[in-house]
Amino acid sequence: MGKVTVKFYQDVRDAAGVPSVEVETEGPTPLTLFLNNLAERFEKLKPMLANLQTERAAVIVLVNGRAPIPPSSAVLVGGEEISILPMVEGG
Amino acid sequence: MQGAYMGKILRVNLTDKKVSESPLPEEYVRKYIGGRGIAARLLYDVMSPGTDPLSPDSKMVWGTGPLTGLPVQACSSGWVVTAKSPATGTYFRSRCVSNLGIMLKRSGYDFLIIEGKAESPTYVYIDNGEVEFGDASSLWGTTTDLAEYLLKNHLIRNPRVETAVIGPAGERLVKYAIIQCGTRQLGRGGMGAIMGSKNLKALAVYGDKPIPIADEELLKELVREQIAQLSAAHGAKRMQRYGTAAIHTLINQIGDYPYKNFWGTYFPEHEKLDGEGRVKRTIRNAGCPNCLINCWKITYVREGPYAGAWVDGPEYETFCTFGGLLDISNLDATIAANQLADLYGIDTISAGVAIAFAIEAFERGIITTKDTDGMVLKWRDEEVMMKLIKKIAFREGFGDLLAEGVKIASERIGKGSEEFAIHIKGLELPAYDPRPVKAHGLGMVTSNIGGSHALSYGTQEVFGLPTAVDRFAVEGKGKLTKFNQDRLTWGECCIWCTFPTRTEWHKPDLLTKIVAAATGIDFGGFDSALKIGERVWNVEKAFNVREGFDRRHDTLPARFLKEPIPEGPSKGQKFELEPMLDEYYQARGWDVATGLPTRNKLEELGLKDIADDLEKMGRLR
Repeated sequence: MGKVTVKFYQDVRDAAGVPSVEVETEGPTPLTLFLNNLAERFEKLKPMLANLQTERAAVIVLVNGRAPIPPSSAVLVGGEEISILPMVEGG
Repeated sequence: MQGAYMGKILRVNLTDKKVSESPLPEEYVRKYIGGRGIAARLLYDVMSPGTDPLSPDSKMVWGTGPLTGLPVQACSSGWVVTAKSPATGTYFRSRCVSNLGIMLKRSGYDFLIIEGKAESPTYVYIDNGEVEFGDASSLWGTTTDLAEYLLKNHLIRNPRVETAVIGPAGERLVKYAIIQCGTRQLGRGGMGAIMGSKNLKALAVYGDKPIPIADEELLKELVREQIAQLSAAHGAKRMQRYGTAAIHTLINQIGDYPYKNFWGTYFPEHEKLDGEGRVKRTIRNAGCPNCLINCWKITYVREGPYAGAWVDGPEYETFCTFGGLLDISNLDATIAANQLADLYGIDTISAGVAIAFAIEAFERGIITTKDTDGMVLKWRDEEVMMKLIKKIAFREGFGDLLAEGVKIASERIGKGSEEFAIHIKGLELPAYDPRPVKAHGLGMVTSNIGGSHALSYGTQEVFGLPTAVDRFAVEGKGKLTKFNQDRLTWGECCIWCTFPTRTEWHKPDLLTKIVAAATGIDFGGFDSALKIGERVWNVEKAFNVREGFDRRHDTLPARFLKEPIPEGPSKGQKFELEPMLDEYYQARGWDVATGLPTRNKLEELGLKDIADDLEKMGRLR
């Protein structure tokens, strides 16, 4: 068992309706499965979480500040902080 | 030439008020396309090595691209100024988005070369090809907004002209003085100081000549596809809402946000400066003509101590340099500081970095109140920020030292302050720490203009676009940086907007077709585009090599090389300069030991004449 903190930003936060959430995981959990479960819980996030790390991506997902490449390579063991931010450009 | 070009270069000498025209060389169009490319080549041609950038012999090349002024998305108001920078001593290009470029083109010119020095404060007015020199004595000493107002409404009496003016900082040759163009800026590299050194307070341009298009129907069809591509990009929609500051949170969350003079890379109070607060203060969205993104944000402070402050911005960089870099989290103060900098005419990036440097030097006891006109410098102090902006712009007291930029300021102060003077080749770094984004950092290290993110952006590391890359990895970053530089260089030759181009929200192959439809010239596909970008990069590099730059100058302040990031998502990262530099020079086909170009590479790029120049100087390998 481990606890993963998920933080939502900008319009992802609007969609989730909360700034952050803590999720209990039962043993090592692939990030993609974790995000699928998150999308089930927060219905409005579902379209946002599709197509990660493709040109159609709507959000950027960071695990402890880094984007796992590919997303399927990441396994959560508890204690991680996940940031979900809108895809942006600028600077 | 069939379309998109006006076919002429205008040359204006302020010393003898001589004006001349010459045809735009077709060879240069084929080799460099336009915009930054031809401007760089013209500067190389007309500027002798070793020229003092603030002397009458110094030249400025103002340039438009083939797409400037055309009904195409994400490019139409782009233009550049190239010159030798007084801040860096290197080639410099500063890019602006304002209608002045469109007016220059509609006045009949693709490029404008300004040289010499006027005897007294002067403005130059170009009206549909007619050039007039005016007395700017009444404008001298004014802020940029007043100068523009008086010029348009009282001196020229044509409110439709587009202007480029300097403020008090440009007149005083502040090394990072800007040129204000409406509400936008030529922000970096001290282009405003060059105008000031020439007694040129302002340039005003009006034109209503049609810009030819080679295949108008095909262009319309291609632009429809471009609109479809941009409309589908999620990031473009976020820019509509938040502007360039959309990235503020992301940069912080990946641990790349300069905090307290680049000591750290995570700003604990970043959310106070983030998107929604700015959206509340945005009273108008704006943007380049024809662009659906509309990334400009007119923000206004309605209440509190800064009530009445407004600015077109702040852009992301300013949110940081007048924000977290100084440990300031008051959005209203950031807006007010941005407004002051624009009115006085100084670059918000360099000014913020200079102030942060001064605060750290004070905090360490390297300087004291004896050096700072009695001011106690500390983090989180909005009043200090406001006072120093004014002191820098007017070169008052301690501000006179900071007006030279952190490189020179630290050299004069000494006592180890050079280690935390945050610049590359004399240009203060923008709002990215190089340590946790290696290609992005290497792009700044090897940039032909010094510490700028604008000539190479590690989108693969920062946004994961167009293909995600591990930002901590070292291997492969030399090659990646070359690609990013060549891509953006080509984009700025055509004058494509950097944002959707570097993330490939509109596809490169489509963009090459648009350029061909507009110009009637087949420049080839994206591979050819990259080759043109590489050619232009080498011309700019050759300019710098002539000035004495080589591998020794492609480096970073000791902070990034020696100090691991102390906390946050990028904790422990340093910048692994040497192996990345080796790989970069190899990818460029340059001499690895010296960083100098080789004859083989220059001849491969069709630059034999430049190779000959460098060889005569003993600067070729």
